[in-house]
Amino acid sequence: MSLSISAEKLSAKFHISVEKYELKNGLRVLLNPDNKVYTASYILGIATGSRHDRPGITGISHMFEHLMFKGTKKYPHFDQLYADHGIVRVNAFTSHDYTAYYASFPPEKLELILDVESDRMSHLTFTQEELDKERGAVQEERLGRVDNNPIGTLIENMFDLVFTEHPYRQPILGYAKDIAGYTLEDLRNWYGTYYSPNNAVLVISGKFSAKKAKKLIEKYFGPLASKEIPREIKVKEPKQKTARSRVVYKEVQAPVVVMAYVTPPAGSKEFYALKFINHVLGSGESSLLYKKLVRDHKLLSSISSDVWDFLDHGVFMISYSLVDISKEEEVKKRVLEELKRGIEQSLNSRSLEKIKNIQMNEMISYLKRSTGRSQQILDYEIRFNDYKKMYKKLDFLNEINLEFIQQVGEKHLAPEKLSYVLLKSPEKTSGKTQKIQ
Amino acid sequence: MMKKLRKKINLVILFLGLVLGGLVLYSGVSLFKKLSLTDYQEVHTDSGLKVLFLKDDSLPFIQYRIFFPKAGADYDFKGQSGLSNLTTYLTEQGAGGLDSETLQEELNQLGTELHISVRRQTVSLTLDGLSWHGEKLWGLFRKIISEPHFQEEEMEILRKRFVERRLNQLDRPGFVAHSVWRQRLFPGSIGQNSGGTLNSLSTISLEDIKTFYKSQFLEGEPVLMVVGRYNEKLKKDIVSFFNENFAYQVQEYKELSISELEAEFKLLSNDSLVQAEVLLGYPLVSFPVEDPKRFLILKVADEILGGSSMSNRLFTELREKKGLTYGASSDIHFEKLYGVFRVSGATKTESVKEFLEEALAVLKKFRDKGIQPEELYRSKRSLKSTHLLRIETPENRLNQFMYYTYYLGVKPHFLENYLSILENISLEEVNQLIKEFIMSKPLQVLVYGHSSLQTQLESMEGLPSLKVISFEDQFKDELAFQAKK
Repeated sequence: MSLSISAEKLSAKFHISVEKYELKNGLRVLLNPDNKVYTASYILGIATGSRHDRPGITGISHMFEHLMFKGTKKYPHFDQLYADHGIVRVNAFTSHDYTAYYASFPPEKLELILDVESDRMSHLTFTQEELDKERGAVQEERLGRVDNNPIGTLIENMFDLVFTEHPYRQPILGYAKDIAGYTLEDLRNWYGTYYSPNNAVLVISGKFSAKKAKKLIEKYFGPLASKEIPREIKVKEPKQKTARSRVVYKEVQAPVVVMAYVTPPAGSKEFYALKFINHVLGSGESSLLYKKLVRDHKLLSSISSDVWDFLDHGVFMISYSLVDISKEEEVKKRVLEELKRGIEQSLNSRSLEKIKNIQMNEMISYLKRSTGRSQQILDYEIRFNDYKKMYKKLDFLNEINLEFIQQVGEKHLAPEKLSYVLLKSPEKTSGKTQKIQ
Repeated sequence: MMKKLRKKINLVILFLGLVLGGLVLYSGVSLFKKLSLTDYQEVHTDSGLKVLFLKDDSLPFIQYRIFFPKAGADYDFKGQSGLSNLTTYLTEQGAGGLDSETLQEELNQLGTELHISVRRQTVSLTLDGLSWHGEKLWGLFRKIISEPHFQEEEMEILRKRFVERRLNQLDRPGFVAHSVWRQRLFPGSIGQNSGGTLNSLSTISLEDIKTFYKSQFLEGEPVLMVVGRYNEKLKKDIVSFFNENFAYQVQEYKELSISELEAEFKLLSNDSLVQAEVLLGYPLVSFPVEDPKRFLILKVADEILGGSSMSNRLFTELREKKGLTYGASSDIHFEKLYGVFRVSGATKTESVKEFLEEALAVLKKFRDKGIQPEELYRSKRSLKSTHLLRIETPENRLNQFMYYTYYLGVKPHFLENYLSILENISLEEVNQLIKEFIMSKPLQVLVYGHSSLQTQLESMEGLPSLKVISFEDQFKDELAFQAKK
């Protein structure tokens, strides 16, 4: 991995060598060779995530991700084949914005990987029986991650409350009723519509020869025909004018709270401003919320915040457990007061220095491993058509204006923009419990 | 003539291919030898502390890690589960003249925080950051590992956090199932929940923490690791600090007695659950230090039974063929002083019996018929690639070395030759150890799920009669303790 240092731009300290090009059929390819390691990793992203799922077939992007492991006529036992060749950590994920398939492999298996991946992008086969079995696995996944899991239930409710129109309100895994109803035709249509080289990005990182890789990529992916990808109907999330609140009932030992705010799109200056506020307000034990709520007021034993970045909007979240439910209102009031005070008073040049250091450390942790590098490159390329945007947040720090950050905080974390979800045990009233959502 | 010549050329190409293929196959071995064991420097300081230095200039980064091989949760004093965790986390709540808030502020200001890992037997503290902060980071890390304040007020803040964490743990079905199952396997201190219970956490005093720190941290033969970009001055500072300030002592490992158990089949019932957690297995003997190849042979077997690849037997039978679960896996895990064999997975209430029957059938077939040559080949390929990924970064390579050498006590030869030892494992060796280890002890089976499962499970064949206990009864002491508060 080559590194060049420049005094002007923070990002220059972390530049890695990436070669980017596009095949005639529209497949974007990014190569990041590093001969100091022993293995290589690939990740293939398809620009289709839960944001593309429609009502009635929520979770279909994720369901399809499972079916991609069913094999092709040429390679019917995909898992076994990869295992035979020492190709490991074979897996996939579906996010709000895209789906990705990845693995790590011995360098000499590059050709096999490209052959198989191009084949399953174009010749995947699956039957009704296979769909039904995989549906069972997905139903179990949902039970484990959401229905049996208080935090999963809380987060699903949070998305449902914070977004009213945008498909981000739908769970990535889909609603149980929709999972039960997918037909073979739904899934074949999904594949036929979205799995195409012009809707995909391929990244390879680690030990391999870029020259050889280019030839092989052309050989295997070059002949695939591109398709017309349906134009996405952009749904605009209406501006929130009043605060929202929801109580979810589920048997728990400790009630949990999440306070959420819709943010501007990932990659925007406003989004990064909120990311910086997050570091000052709720990240680590030196954060303002921890100091005030845990140390000074002694109302909580922990509290943290986070920002999730999605293509159209992000979500700024503050979360905590309420060991003493009788203090619910008092805690909520204090958190909101400290949030306001934090935005008005705690942003200064020292906090800016801290944020720079956090961002640079984060960047190193991504770039250290070939798997981390390939995922970062894909994440920025597939969403913004420009992997170099991963450095942008570092350069933005040098151009930052504290006044701007404060304005963004006041605008997007205003009291009327709050969505508040409390998850607690049903209250027992006259021998009956409340209905569990 | 031309045809013959072409055939001959093809044969030569084929031969060259095989030779080169062989070279490729073994290239990992030589690379590993070269990179992991020859380019670090080990310094034995006057205090008894060993320091391992490894330079890496690829990114502007430095990492400090201290490893305490005898400070994990298994060493918690009787009735005081959570002691190791509380002690370890308290080290960063004020140290070297800096109060907790100032210390955290200083760490966060450098864009980092202390990473704490409390495992069953070991503890490690890691601080990493930007290389141009190397000296400042060392200054803070040094305070944490050598001068923790251990103050009453900070302990109370931490205790509250641990209580909250324990309550959250009780809401996680997977966690509850694993901790109750483990308690059955190891009725003594090593079966205790590492984070403590509501009751045990309340009994821990500052004196207990100081005593534990002295006996398990200071006298527990720690090892320090420094990796990344550093200069000679920093290196000298680190060595001279430990030459002048401390005396670390060597403490012998205490024998742990593992009781012989009768087979048990238990339903832990909780009517708020819509999916059941299933666990089966038993305790194993300690890590085979004298013959670590046996460990690798068992890893090969485990990979085939329920390891990381999607073609393993449990995954294939329970998920691919039946759609019964999102994931079923096995784990053969060794600590220095004991081991665990476990099969686990989760399935909806109505499928638990089928899940258990299938899992037991897979295990039985695995023990009776052993593995096939193609499975052995696949497993070796998979373990080789996983190993090479595991040692991809310099700090991971050194960490592996530290773990095997200074915790497990395995001779460096094993790690140096990991890949060739793996390559030479035979089918007979694997099948022999499968017979020795799989279904070799009375099975401990736990299902954590809805009480209606009792009817379904009572008719299970091949397992002892079902015992049923409710979540409320299992945790009655903790729930009573919480209700009182």
